[in-house]
Amino acid sequence: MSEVYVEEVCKQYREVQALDNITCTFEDGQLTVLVGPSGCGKTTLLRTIAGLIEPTSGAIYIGKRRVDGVPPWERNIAMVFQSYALYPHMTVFKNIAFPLEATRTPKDEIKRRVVETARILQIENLLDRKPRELSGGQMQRVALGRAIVRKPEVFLMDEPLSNLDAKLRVVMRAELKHLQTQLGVTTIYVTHDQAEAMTLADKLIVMNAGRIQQIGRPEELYRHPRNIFVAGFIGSPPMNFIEVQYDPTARALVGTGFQYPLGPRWLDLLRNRPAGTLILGIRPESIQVSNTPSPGVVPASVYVMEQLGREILLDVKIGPQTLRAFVPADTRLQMGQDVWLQFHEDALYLFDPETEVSLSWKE
Amino acid sequence: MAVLFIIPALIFVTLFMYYPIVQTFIYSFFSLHRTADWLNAQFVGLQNYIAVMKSEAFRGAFGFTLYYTVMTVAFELAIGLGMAIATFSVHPRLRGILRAVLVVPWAIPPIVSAMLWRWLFHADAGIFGYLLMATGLVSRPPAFLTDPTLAVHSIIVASVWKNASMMGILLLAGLASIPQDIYDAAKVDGARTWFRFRRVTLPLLLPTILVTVLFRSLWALRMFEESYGLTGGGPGTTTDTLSTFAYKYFFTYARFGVGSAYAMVIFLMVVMVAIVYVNRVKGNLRFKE
Ligand SMILES: Nc1ncnc2c1ncn2[C@@H]1O[C@H](COP(=O)(O)OP(=O)(O)O)[C@@H](O)[C@H]1O
Ligand SMILES: [Mg+2]
Repeated sequence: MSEVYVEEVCKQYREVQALDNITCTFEDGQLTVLVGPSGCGKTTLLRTIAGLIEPTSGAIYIGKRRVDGVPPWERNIAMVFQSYALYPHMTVFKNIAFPLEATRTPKDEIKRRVVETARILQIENLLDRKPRELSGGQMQRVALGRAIVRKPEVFLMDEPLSNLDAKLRVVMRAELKHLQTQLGVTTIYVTHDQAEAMTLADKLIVMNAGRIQQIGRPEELYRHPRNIFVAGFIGSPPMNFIEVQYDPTARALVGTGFQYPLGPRWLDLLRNRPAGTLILGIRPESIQVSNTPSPGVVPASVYVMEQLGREILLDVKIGPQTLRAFVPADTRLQMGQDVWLQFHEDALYLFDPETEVSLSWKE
Repeated sequence: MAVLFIIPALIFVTLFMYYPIVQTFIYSFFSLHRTADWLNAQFVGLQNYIAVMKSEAFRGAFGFTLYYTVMTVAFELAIGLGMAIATFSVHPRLRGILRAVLVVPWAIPPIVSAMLWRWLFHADAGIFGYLLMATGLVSRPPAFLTDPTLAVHSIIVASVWKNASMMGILLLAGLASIPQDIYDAAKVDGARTWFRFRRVTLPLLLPTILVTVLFRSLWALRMFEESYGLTGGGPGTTTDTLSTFAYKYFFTYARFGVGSAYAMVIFLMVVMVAIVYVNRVKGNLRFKE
């Protein structure tokens, strides 16, 4: 068990900068999730830590040891692949035993540890089968077994659940979290699914276009997103964004058909800012919808309603812009009906349109 | 009704594929010398076969063909595997070029390559003899094609040169069909290069190896061009193969009866080897599903 430290790592493919100056720490014993849209460099970073890809520049440490340049088989890591990558010609027993055999473990110890691992993962009855005789969920367990059997310093997992169906994915997610906590092995987990990331992570690293956007605990990222990208990526449905004009003399934000008076907290934050365009962000769950106007509300009209059972997801239009909000499941609304939206000041985010950084962001 | 539609195809296949075999089979029971008119020839039963079995020359040709097959296929497999792995380990961009280079010897028509090697091995004008002389290891160029032992091995060398690359190409395709994740999994699982090769690459390549060896063996058992082109079966009949021998009986001695018996024996041997191999390969192909 060790901390993993990545320092100023870059990876350049011919035209693509897959990793752009990545520096981050993966704490000892914790589960850190690398999350970001497809193609943002998550797999590249994970494989660089595994030693399957050599970085163009930068350093990687596992524990105290600098490992860039060290081949993967000497890094004492274990990896779970999206495809599971089980050895098709070996039985489940042999698959799990492989890392032990490769590192010359005595035979009786191999047997003991494989059986123990199989017991933890509840696959004792599958030990004589070949991978082609297993279901997706069973293959997943074997792949996990092969990873945990040798007690590595670090687990690396690249979208390990994305080949499972939705139901099984949720089950395995919980089991994985439980297993990881129990074993206490430093784990780096890659996914493009923010919901999976939020539920699993002790710590999240959000990436986009080869760069780290923000690092933090799931609730930190949800409450204090550093920029528009993180704000829009974390949370489902994503945060709403509206373009508004800041008017210092009116002490308000002006949008199409509404004026939003600012409270003392925001006026303080905007103290030195000239008049101009800002991006207002508000989460769907923070919007209150009413069918009667009152001071300081934003007029809108109902566009689409999606009944989710527990609540209704509402698409409303403010001029040309669409916002999403939740209303209780028994609310009676009609398409095209006028509604009024209330944004609670504490739930409001403002972003600079140039840098896209949150105005309330503090390092 | 459906049968009616198959009949023309069936007749076609029978005529073109099995007719020569049937004809050879019939010929092999008659005494035919300088004539193929078996209806007016003497029926001799199994005498042609007995003659074949008793013939010293046949046993020589049989022995050489077997030795040739084992040696060439073994060396071609070893060298081809080496070439495949070397090609596979270079950068993908180089791989295409290397593959194109590899395919050259195999693309040359067999009889042309035999002629080429005949010149390379030529006692007076050959480059090999010249090179050996230049190193001072020998005082006279070795008789590559006229000394019995040397001739046998010269033919093997020429064949290996020509066919190893084909093996290499096929094995390369086999290597490339193993998912990259499996190689990577073995690396992070702590397996070093040799362990990975022995425990992962080789077993996963085995089906490809077996199929390749099967086809190459069947090919080698029927080898004709190399002997015909390099030595003409000489010196004496040392490098006569089953095929060159049957050929001689047919076209040089015009003994169609005995020649047919030879051909049938070769045919049966090849079929037997094929059956044995195919059964083995089938068993080893199962995990690929
Ligand atoms: N071997 C490669 N050659 C060239 N470009 C690559 C290679 N591998 C990945 N890339 C590029 O690097 C970027 C990051 O890829 P990847 O790490 O696989 O993204 P992710 O796992 O986040 O979806 C992508 O734009 C991808 O096209
Ligand atoms: Mg990926």
